[in-house]
Amino acid sequence: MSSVGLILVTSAVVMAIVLVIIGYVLGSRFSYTNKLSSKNSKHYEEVAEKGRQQLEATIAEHVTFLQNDLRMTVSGMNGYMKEELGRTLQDEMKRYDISLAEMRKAAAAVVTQSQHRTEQQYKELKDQLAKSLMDEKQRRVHQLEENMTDIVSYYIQAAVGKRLELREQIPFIVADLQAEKASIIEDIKYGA
Amino acid sequence: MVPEQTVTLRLPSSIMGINEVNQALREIDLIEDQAMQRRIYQAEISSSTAGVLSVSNSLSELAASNGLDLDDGAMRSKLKGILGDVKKHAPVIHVGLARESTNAELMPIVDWMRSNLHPNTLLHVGLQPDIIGGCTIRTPNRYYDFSLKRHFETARIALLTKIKAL
Repeated sequence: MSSVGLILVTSAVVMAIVLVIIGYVLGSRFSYTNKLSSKNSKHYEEVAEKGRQQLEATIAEHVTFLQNDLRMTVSGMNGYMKEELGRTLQDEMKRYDISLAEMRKAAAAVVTQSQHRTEQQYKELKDQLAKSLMDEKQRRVHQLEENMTDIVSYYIQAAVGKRLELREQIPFIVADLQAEKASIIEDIKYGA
Repeated sequence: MVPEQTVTLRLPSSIMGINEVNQALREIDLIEDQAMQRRIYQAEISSSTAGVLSVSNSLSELAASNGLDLDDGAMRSKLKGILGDVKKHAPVIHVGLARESTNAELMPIVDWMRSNLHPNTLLHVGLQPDIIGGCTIRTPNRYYDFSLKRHFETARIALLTKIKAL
């Protein structure tokens, strides 16, 4: 941007110098003409005419010069701007690519971390569930152990309780009595 | 301690416990009353009804198994005395069963006890439905569990081993 400013300033200075020169030439011409008017108005008119023509030619020359200069300046500025914009765009694109790559990397890291955390949580949950299941199994086995006799008794009583005839149990009862006979006799004889 | 009885009495299986003994004693008293009435009103009682006394089967068995004549007042008195002794001194064994049972079902147990423990053993039968089967025996100071429930307790370890192996 500093180069563009320099070109503009240079152009403005050139135009100012041209205008000063034009003013000076015209001023000197007019003052000279006034001095001669009194002597020879005809000659004056010719000179004035020449001067006017020269002035117009000079002005046209300088206008053309200025037009060319401006055209070149504009063309140069266009090229410069195009170049600058292209470079800037490329820089921005590079920066954008870098940012995008960093963001992609960060996103990948976050996804990886999240995946790792999820896997860890899954593992913890799985372990916890397995532990809970084991605890529950142990609890139920313990409960079953505690109440095993009642459960089996209840089941057998419900299943065959009414079908258990005392007559059929007599041999077993007598066998048990026989096994405890001495103890029973001892208690009967020397008990209360 | 059970004192030795001077006169041994053979109790039939139909007389199992104190209740039957009491019933026999009441019957003997009744027979005694009837005999007394017969003596008082001897002239009015016809000869056809003189020897008829209403006696339960258990008392008849008791008299028969001990060779006693219930028509004889002295023997009735002796039987009453012996039964009184039995009531006071015979060992009473409490038997717990899972369900109600008849005397016929209990006879083998009574017979075994009277032939192996004491000839005048009396039974007191109670209900214990939770034992499922078998019986429990309670003597004056001891308790014997011959129930199925106790057998299940004994076999519990084997069952647990099987369950844990599942």
